[in-house]
Amino acid sequence: MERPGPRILLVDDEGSIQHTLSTVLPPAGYTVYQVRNGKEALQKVQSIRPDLILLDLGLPDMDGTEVIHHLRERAIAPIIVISVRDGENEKVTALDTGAHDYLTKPFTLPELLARMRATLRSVNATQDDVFAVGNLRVDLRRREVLVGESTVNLTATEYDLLKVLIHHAGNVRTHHELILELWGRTQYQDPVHLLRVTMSHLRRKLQPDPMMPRYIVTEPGVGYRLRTESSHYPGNARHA
Amino acid sequence: MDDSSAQKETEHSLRSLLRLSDKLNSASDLDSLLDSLVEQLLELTGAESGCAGLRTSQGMSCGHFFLGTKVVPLSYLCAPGVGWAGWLLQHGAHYLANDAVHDPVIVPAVRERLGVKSGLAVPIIDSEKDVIAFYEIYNKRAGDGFTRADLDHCLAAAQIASLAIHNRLLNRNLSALAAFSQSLTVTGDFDQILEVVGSHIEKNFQRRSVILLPVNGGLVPRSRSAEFILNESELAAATWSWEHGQAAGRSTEILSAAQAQYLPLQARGEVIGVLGVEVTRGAWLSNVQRQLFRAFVNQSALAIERGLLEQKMRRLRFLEESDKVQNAVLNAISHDVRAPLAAITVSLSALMTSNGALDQAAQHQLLETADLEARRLHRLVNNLLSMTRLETGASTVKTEPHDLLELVSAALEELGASGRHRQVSFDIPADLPLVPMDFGLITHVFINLFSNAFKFSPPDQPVEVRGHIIDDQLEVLVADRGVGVPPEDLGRVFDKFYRVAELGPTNGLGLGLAICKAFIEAHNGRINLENNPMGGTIVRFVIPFHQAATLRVGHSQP
Repeated sequence: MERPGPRILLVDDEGSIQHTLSTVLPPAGYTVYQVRNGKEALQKVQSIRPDLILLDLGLPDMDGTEVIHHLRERAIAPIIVISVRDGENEKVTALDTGAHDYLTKPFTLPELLARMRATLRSVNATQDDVFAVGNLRVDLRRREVLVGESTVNLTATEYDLLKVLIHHAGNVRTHHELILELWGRTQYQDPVHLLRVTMSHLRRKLQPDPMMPRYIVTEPGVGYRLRTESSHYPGNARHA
Repeated sequence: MDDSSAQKETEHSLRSLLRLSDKLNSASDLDSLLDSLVEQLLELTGAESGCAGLRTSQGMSCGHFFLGTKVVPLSYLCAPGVGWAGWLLQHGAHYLANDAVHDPVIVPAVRERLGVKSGLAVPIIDSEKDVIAFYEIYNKRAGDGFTRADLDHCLAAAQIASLAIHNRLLNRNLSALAAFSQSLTVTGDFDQILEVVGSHIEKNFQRRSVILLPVNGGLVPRSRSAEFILNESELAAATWSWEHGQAAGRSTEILSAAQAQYLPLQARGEVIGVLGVEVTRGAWLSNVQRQLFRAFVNQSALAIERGLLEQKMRRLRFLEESDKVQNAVLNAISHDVRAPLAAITVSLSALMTSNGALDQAAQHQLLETADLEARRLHRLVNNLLSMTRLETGASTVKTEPHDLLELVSAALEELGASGRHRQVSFDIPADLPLVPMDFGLITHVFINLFSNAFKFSPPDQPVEVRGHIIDDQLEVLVADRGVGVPPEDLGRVFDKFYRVAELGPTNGLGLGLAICKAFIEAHNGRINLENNPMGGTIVRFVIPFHQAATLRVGHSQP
């Protein structure tokens, strides 16, 4: 009988990570298949038919980018990179090569679970009408944005930016992707700066208090990410 | 001419020669000496005009032209053999031409400018038989040109002038040498010493030079004038000089095909390097100049040796320092890594072995401790990594325009539980523009500053953050109301591994502020710490940026 829950292919040569994840993921409803190198991953990906791939970039036998590239050829499953490498270029390269998201080690389990859920949700394209995280509540059908009890007035661009992030909630969107989705092919002089300024406005409206955790997180040199669940925040006991 | 008039004549000329001697000896410098020489000679001989000049390494510098008592602004250089001055230089003897109009040697420009019909040019020769200067006089007012008596007077005048000029040249040497020593003494940096040597040689002798120093058993050029060409034959001569402790190259008997002459730089009987000085055809150093040159070479050798010794000392001191640093790192790391590891291990092992003896609150407490300590460890490793990367040049600052508030917020998030219950107040204008910063580095700065503020101030006291743009700089203040820093420690809080003793041995590597400083300086900014008049400390940092290049956040956009 087939095992239940989304099927996860875990590609990591580190025993402790393999061990920990294969212990904690099944109780969260996932079935975990483990491989320890790139070659094995490419061999097994078609027979396992995973719903999601967790990939460490520092594999002993193959370059991480190469593995992403070959995996994308063989399977439609989204890839979340989990890596100790935190260079911007590596992140952008991984995302450009076809990774869905990027998580830097060390990470917490809630963080990982949130990313996995977000990724699975976005590829399954089931979009709720209402998005909620922390005090933020966005009704996409009514174009209504609430922080706590009060309505927030956003400009059209700010709202569109928020909408795009909600659509990919939990996953990082690169500057390039966001610019394309917000302004299409219209050429602005410095679209990245325009994006930054729009983002800065949006943030201040959604979250005027720097003591509160951020809804939208900057991935330096890469782009932005809208957080999905409060459990996903660092300092997770903050709301406990 | 009868006897009495001849005697009068002789008396007159003797008096003139005496006056000449007085005038020359009382001249304040070489220029005024040459001026008086010409003036006195015109009076002595009754000539209309004249000039005087010094010998240089390239030939004769002709100047100090006088027409009567009027100065004629004229100066040029006669190479050996060119003009009367050049002729003197070549022959070491005087030149008398009573038909200057048809004279083939005179510089035509001078003939035209001063209307020269007759002339007498006399070399000034020093005791070493070197031509060191000269003078010329033109157009005797009475009679048919210059006479035998004029010539005798002129030769006598030349002898008097010789001693005076020689003395002035020696004086000039002394002051050049003094200036050279002075420049060397005030120079701290080794490369600067080499530069000073080169520039003074060029200034005083008009020669290009090179300094070669031994590195790993071979000679390496360390400082050279622009356009000094150092090919294999030059290197061969330099190496020979270094190995034998004797001069080699041009104008010597060894490897004389080289363009330059190479002189060993000797200090304490040891050859510490080689000085190469270009020798151009026809160029010349007088004995006086050679003396100066030798003094320069000795002085250079001493200065270079001193520089080398200082370098060695610095290296030793650095090794000692880095030894100290290494020990400090080991101590600090063994403490700061072990402490959180111990907490994590104890917490987790307690949970694993409790067998239900712990209630839920206790379990949660242990888990929270483990989580907190793991984060602290992570931060520590990140701090050390970022610092090492910056210091070794493995990473550079990657600036993007960022919202100051977001960095502050990210830092507070990162601190998690330790900042959760603290009161932090913000004074950051809503229209503060985006400032180009490295997100990771400046967030680290805030993490470290907040972490200190939380650690060293009572939990019920507020921590204050202010951010403003002043004069194209972002100025940020983080103030706490804690224990403050003893005044004697204020100067050292940014040193690596420095911990304020009064605050106890625990808590931290003593790296936090050093890291802040490194990160802020990597942004070309500055950071300082002062005691808060209200109690506690204020850390203030500034990061420069050009506002014109940055869109303001407060404006509406499309």
